[in-house]
Amino acid sequence: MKALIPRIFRTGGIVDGEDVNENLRSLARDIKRNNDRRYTYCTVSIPLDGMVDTDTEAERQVYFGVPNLLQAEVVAVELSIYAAGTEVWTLSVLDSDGRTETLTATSAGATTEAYDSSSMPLQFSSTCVLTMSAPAASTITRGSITLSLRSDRQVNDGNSRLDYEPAFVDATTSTAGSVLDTQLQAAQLAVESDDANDWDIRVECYLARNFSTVQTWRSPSGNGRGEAAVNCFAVGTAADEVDFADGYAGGFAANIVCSGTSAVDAAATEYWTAANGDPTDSGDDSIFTMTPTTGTAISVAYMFVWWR
Amino acid sequence: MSLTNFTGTVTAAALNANFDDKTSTLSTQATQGQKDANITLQVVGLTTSTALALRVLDFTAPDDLEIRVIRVEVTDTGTGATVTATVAESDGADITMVGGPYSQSVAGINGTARETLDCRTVTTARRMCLVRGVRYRLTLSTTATVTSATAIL
Repeated sequence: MKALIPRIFRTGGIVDGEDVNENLRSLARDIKRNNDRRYTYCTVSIPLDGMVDTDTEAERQVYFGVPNLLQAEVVAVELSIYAAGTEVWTLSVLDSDGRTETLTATSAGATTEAYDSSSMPLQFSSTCVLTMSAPAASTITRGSITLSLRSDRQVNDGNSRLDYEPAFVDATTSTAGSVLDTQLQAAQLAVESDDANDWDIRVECYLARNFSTVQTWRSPSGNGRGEAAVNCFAVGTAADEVDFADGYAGGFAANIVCSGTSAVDAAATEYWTAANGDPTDSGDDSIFTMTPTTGTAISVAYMFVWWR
Repeated sequence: MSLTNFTGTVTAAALNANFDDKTSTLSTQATQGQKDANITLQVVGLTTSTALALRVLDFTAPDDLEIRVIRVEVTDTGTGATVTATVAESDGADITMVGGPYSQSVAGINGTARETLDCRTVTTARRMCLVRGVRYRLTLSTTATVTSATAIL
């Protein structure tokens, strides 16, 4: 797509200051438009299927850590559960600033949804902890925590966001070249600032509970999915191991040896370059796996895959 | 991206080139934020009698989003099932309110089979955009029991 310059100048014509100003105003509008659209949104769903009130706290928790140097803001949290009985399930969200947001949903049967939501913005630059709890016996047949995230591409890439306010030329301007240079250079600073900021953070969650065989998920590729980071977590009996991997060539591999069912164990963040291609071509898919060591059953394991 | 500094006479060509350079870059940037993200629904042991509540994923669109593809992936040893993924506007637990279902099916499963609907090129259905703040439902259904079914937007 090529933008149109409102006014084109021609050799032999008289340069009208108002024409130049119109072009400057157009530049300022385009820069503001791009700055206003600097946010990227995504939705990540964290499964709760099979969670029981008597699970250990670690088994009822989800650690949600944004990779180093990146930032994202949770703009909405949704809790959806299907569980027999009428028990009040509580979701506590602790963000990295120490603020807590609480959602509650009273179960209404295995096929009737209990739902709560919050739109309080939660900022986190490190780990955010989501904890589910219920005061009495209850098993979540099916459920999910859905987070809506907003990332600011201009924050994540570490470059300042610049606006451009043109100073207009007029008929009395005696040094037109110098004045135009000043204006265009100021505009260029703002344009380059936006151009350098192209980190649109999106995230996916893959989670399995109470499993003893390999778990596999495919994730179609797409636009802007060339670089990824993954945070892996697991809870299980001490010494049990779960191996995380991406089957795509050059993908990551991470192993976690569990320290006990009362602790959430984490692997170091892994980074890799993935396919950045066609979502209709399964050959470009990422293939994520979680593999327990032979003879073990992992209480819960999950990975958050961050794309940029 | 470069600017030609003006010295002496400002030529029309140089003036145009400098403005064009900036507007072209800005135009490119305007589309840079169009990045893809996936939403996944997986059901293990999907049957014809699986309660609707256990084979749906509800989510609220955080921004205006275009559905680029709908993929259905099924694992089973049989060949008789047809599994369909549908996305539609929803309100509450069980009610599809408005908007015709937008769906993709996969059949002839023997092992793992997948089909992907490219919503940008399909001519038999309308393109679908999710509206910010509206809750949508992704649903899986089947004509026979399958081991595992996954729907991905």
